[in-house]
Parts: sequence; structure tokens; C-alpha cells
Amino acid sequence: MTDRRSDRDVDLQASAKLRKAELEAHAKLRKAEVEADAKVQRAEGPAAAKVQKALVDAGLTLQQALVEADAKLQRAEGPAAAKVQKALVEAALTLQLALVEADAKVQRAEGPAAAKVQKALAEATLTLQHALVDATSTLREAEVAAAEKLIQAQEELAYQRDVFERFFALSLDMMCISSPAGDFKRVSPSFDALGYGSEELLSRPMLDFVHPDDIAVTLAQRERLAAGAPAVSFENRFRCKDGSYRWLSWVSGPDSAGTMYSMARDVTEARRMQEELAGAKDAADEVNRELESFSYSVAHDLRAPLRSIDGFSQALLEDCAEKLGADGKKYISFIRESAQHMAQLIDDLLGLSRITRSQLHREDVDISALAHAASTRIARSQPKRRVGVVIEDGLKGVGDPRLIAVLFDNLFGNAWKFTGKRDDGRIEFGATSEDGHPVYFVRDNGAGFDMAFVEKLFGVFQRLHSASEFEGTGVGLATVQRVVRRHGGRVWAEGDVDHGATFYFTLSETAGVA
Amino acid sequence: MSNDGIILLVEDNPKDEELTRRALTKTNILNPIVVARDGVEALDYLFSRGTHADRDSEAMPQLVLLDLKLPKVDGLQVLKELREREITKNLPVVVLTSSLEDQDLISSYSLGANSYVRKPVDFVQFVDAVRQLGFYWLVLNKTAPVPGL
Repeated sequence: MTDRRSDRDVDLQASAKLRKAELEAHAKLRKAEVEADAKVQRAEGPAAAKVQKALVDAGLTLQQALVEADAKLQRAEGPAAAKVQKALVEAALTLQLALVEADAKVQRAEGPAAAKVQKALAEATLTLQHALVDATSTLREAEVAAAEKLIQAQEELAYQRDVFERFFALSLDMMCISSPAGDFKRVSPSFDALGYGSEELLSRPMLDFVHPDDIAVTLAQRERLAAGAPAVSFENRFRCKDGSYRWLSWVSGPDSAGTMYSMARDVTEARRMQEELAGAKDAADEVNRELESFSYSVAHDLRAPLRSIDGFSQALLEDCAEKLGADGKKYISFIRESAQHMAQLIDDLLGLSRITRSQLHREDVDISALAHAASTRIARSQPKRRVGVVIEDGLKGVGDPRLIAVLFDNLFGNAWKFTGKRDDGRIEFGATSEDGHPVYFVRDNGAGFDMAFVEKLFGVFQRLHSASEFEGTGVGLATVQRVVRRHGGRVWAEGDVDHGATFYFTLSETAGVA
Repeated sequence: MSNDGIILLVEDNPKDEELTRRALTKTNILNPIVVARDGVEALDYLFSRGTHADRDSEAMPQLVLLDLKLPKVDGLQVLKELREREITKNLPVVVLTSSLEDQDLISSYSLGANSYVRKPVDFVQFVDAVRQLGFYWLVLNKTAPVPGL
């Protein structure tokens, strides 16, 4: 009994083990199937290799499962060898079956995967064909566009060439192309101006035409240009057909091969004028220096004899009064007056020339302040006179304050002088506006003048009043005019005999243009 | 009114010299007057050389009245050389001239002139000018001592 029970126990254990081995083999098979299936699923496109690999893997796994099941059967030892044997045979059978099934499943799996692969392959082929067609079409379009562009470029080139040819033919400046060796390759028709036909120029080296004294500098310039110096203008003398030389101003530049492209302009006249101008300036400077030394001499040398005339006349009056008598004393006083008047004339003329000679220093000027200062100066010099002076404040301008002060000294001096015969003398300074620019004026209610002679007013030594009426040298208004002109301005006057005068002036070119 | 300090009158024109003497006399300036007719003579006198080699080189004039336009060496050059020498560096020099040129005024002062007076044509004014400058430079003004004395 015990043996039977024992056999039965062994049997049961072996069965359980076998069952378990079977279950494990199935599970593994299932897993291998699932994996193979998944692998086939993933095998998209031309993935036949992957499917193949999946099949091999599944086979491998089955083999492994079989070996493991076998091993487990080996381990199931016991006295019921027959049963074990049987169980073993059954397990082997089951395994065989499982293997067949797995194989079938793999076979089944292979079908859809192959179809997918086929489909993917077909799709890929189609895509490739589309791409090929597209590429071909794009290539063809590009070819057409390139051909069109080539035609356009050829047309543009022809146009550019035409433009160049036209300008080359029309240019007043001389245009030429010369070889690196300095031979003319091409010359524009404008070289005719020098008397040459193009054949003659093209037959000889360029330097043949250059003035011998200018050859060295010309070569040096060519070298500088070839070395990449910027194409600034360069001048040399070029021999004409008739043997004369003309100054040409060249602008040239080489290409990478050393061919020189040049334009030349005849600057002979410009140079001549420049030289004349320089000569004229030298002459003017010389005259100016002479004027300066003349002024100096006038100041120094003419005044010295006047001082003697005046001084010794005074000495006569003082030392020999009794011998002179009344007439003699009167004549001596005339001599002195004349000497002093002449001294004043000289001083005024010097003042006038100083204005011409002096440099103009323009700055912002308080015109009203300068008018006040001049008015104060003249009032101090004539303390006995009472004149009503009204000066508009806040007038500004641009000018040379020293010269404007001279101008005011003269205008206020005149106004004081010509109101001298009135008790209610009145002087006014102010400004009006013309086109936004100030026009200054000095107005008085004095002796005035006849407008018929207004043209003479500003001339040197021109006087509209006799010396017995009003003293003066006739230089004051000429000085005023010169100050105004130095500033580029304008001066004019309005007057009425016995009803005063108004002097207008501007200090810039734009203001007060009638 | 004045002491016996010498006035060196550098003046080429004898008539101007005469007028200056007269003006000085009329204003009671009785200082001895030494006249130099040109720039060279003025420098010879001041530096005790040439025709003035025998002069006591340390006896400096109290005042120099200097014309600018002079034969040989002009007044500005005389002034320049005076100011370069220690012995005449502080000598009072009044430029007395006809010129009213800005350049002469500027040059005179920058070369160290003490005063610049323009000779008026009117003799009455001239006398007045001489009186004022004589009073100032010969009476009021105190001269720096000659170096080395």
C-alpha cells in the first residue's frame, strides 16, 4: 500500500511538474508569438530582414523552451519511471504540437508582414518616382530660366556696350585704353582736338606724345596706379599735331591685367587762368603793401611839415606880435587853420584807408549799445550842446564792432553837426525790417539836404554844405559807405532841406536789396 | 619844476626838434636836452659807443623821447635793443610820433614803450601834450635805479 501510495505521490508530483513545464513552455511560446507579431507589425517598408529575424527568434525561443521542458522532465525523478516516461513522451508530444503551432503562427504572421513590406516597398517606389518626376521637371524649369537669363544678360551686355560706345564717341574728355607697356590700344574721337587721327595715336607709344620734362613724372604716376594707388587727377603736357603742348589732366586706373583705362581733360586754359589769377593776386598784394607804406608815409611825412607850419606860425604870433599888426595876425591864424584842416583831411583819409585795409571780424554785436556809446562820445566832446537823442534798445546784428563804431561816430557826428543851428535838435536811431532783415537808420531834424544831390552824398571830399555853413572834410559819409560795403550791406539817404535827413544802412548782403 | 636829468630827444627833423624844445621851454621844463638824429646815434649815446664812446656810460638820461620813423635804425628797433640791455631795460621811453597806425602802437607797447604820444599838428595842443608828459615823467614818476649803481 505504502508503495502504491508512494508511487501515486511521485506520479502526482511528476504530473504537476510536467503541467508546470507545459504551462511555462506555452507561455514562452505565446510570448515569442506576440513578439514575432509585434516585430512583424513594426516591420514597415522594406523590412523583410526584420521579419526574417523575428522568425528565427521565434524558432530559437521554441527550441529553448523544449530544452527547458526536457530538462524539467529529467529532474522529475521517481519510482514511477513508466509514468514518468509516459509523461515525458506526452510532454514531448505537447511540445511538438506547440512547436508546430508556433511555426504555423509564425507562418501566419509572415503573411501580413510580407504584405506590409510589399506595400511599403510599393509606396516607397511610388514616392521615389514622384520625386524623380518632380526633380526632372524642376531641372527642366531651371534650364529654361537659365536660358532666359542668358539671353537677358546677353541683351544687357549688348546695351552696355552700346552705351559705352556712344559715350566713348560723344565724350569731350579724351578717353583711351593703353597696354601695360604704354601703347595706345584705343582712343576716343575727342583726341581730334589735339590734331591727331586715331591711327596715328595707335601706331606709337603714349610716351612719345608726352613733354620730355613730364615723362619721368608720367612713368612714376603709371607705376603708382599699377601698384594700386587711387586714381587722383594727374597733369602732364601732351604734344599736339602742330607741335604745341596742351596741359592734360588725367584720371586713370588699371585692370588686373595691367591694361590702363584713362580719361584726360584739356586744362591748359584753366591753368593759364589760374596763373593769371595768382599773378593778379600777387600784384594786388603788392599794391596793398604799397598802399600800406603810402599810408604810413602820409601819416608821418605829410603831417611833419604841417606841424612846422602851424608851430612856427604860432611862434610868430607869440614872439613877433607887435611887428605883425592886425592883418598879419589874421593871416597867420588862417595859415594855422589851413594847416590844421589839412591835418584833419589827412587823418580822415587815413581813417578811410584803414577801414579798407583792416580785416573784417564778424561777430554778434549789440548794435544799440554801439549807438549809445558813439552818442555818448560826441555828447561829451560838445558839452555845451543840448540835443535830444532817442536810441531804440535791444537791436542786435552781426558785424565788426570796431568798424560799426566808426560808422556811428560819423553818422552821429553828422547828425550833431547838422542840427547845430537848431535849439530843438533831435536824433533818433532805430531799425525797420525788410524781408525779415533789419534796416538800421539814424535820423535827425537838422539842415537836411537836397535830394537832387543825393548821389554825391557818399563821395570822398563831396560836400553839400559850404565850410562857412558847416565844417567838414567830406570824408565822413564816404567812410560810412565803406564800412557798410565791407560788411556787404547797403547805405542810402533821404533828406529835405531844413527838414532833416535819414541815413539807412544794412550789414548783410541779403538785407535791404531795393 | 624839474631837476637836471637829461632828456634824450631822438628826432631826425630839426624843425620838429625846434618845436619840441620850444614846447619844453614854454612849459618850464629846463632839463638839458641831448638830440640824436637817427637810431644809430641814439644807441651809440645810450651804450657809450661810436661818437659817444667817451660818455659816462652810467649816466643815463631821465627820459627818452623817441620818434619812430628815423634814418638808419628806426625807433622800434632802438626800443627793442634798449629793452634787451640790462642798463637801459627800465629807462623811461615815450614814443613821440606822427603815426596813429595800430601796428605802431601795438609794436611800441609790446617792445616795452612806457607811453605813446601822437604829435598833434596844432602847436597849442602839442605844447599841452609836452607839458603833461614832461610833468609826469620828469616830476611825478620815480625811475628805477640803473642796475649796478
